Amino acid sequence: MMDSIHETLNRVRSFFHKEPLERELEAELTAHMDLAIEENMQRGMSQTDARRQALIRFGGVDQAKTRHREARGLPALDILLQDLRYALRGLRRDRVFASVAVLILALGIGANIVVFSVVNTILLRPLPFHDPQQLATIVGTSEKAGLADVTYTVDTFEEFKERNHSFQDLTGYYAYSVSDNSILTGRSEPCLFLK
Amino acid sequence: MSGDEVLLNQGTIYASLVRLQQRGWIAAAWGTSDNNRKAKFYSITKKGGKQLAADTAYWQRLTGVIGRVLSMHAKGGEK
Repeated sequence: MMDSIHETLNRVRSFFHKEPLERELEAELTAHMDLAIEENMQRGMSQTDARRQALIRFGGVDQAKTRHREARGLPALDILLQDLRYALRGLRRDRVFASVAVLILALGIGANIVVFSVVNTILLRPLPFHDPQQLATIVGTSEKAGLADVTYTVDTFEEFKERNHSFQDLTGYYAYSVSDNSILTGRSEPCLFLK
Repeated sequence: MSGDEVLLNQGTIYASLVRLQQRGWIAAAWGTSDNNRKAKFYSITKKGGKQLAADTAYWQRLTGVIGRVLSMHAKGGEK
């Protein structure tokens, strides 16, 4: 556990110190090669042969470097940054494509916000009452005009209210918008206006 | 060392070395070799020594068990 934390911290540190580490690796590999060539020459090989054999025994230098980088740093983040830089370069090169993509994204996001705010208001947000599932509408029996037919005079409403035994309370609303219709936005105790 | 049974490219060791170093199991320092060349020297740390002892014990227990199971099989599978 401690070791893996240690390793992760070291990997993060390596990620931010690429250049010195890269120089160090280069120096280490050069030292390795020099030693191997020298050893081979002491065994009686010519310089060219000694170098060739050393390279063969070492395997791919670039592969070794890549593996070293993968083991010491954060390769996934390196690749991500590489991809991001490539994408940004591509966008900068092809301005028309970039603007069209940005425009389409903007339109898409905008349309989504509009649709979501409508759906949120109509479908998702609960009604501003306690236990909205207990709400009921009183609808007349006339089938001629459906809900459009169901309006009551204030007298009827007060009669309903007086004789009510089935509901906790009754209220009415004015559904038709006229020029002097006002919208209630605040929430507090209702009061009665008489004209 | 492995009696040529395991042959790896020398280059593959550097990734392993950096991994061991990052876990704090080995330490590295630049120095001069016998024939006066600059070289990097690796040494095992105290932490690395403990890890090696623990892993060696685990490995020996594991190979011991596997060895016993396999010799049992060779003898005909009795208990």
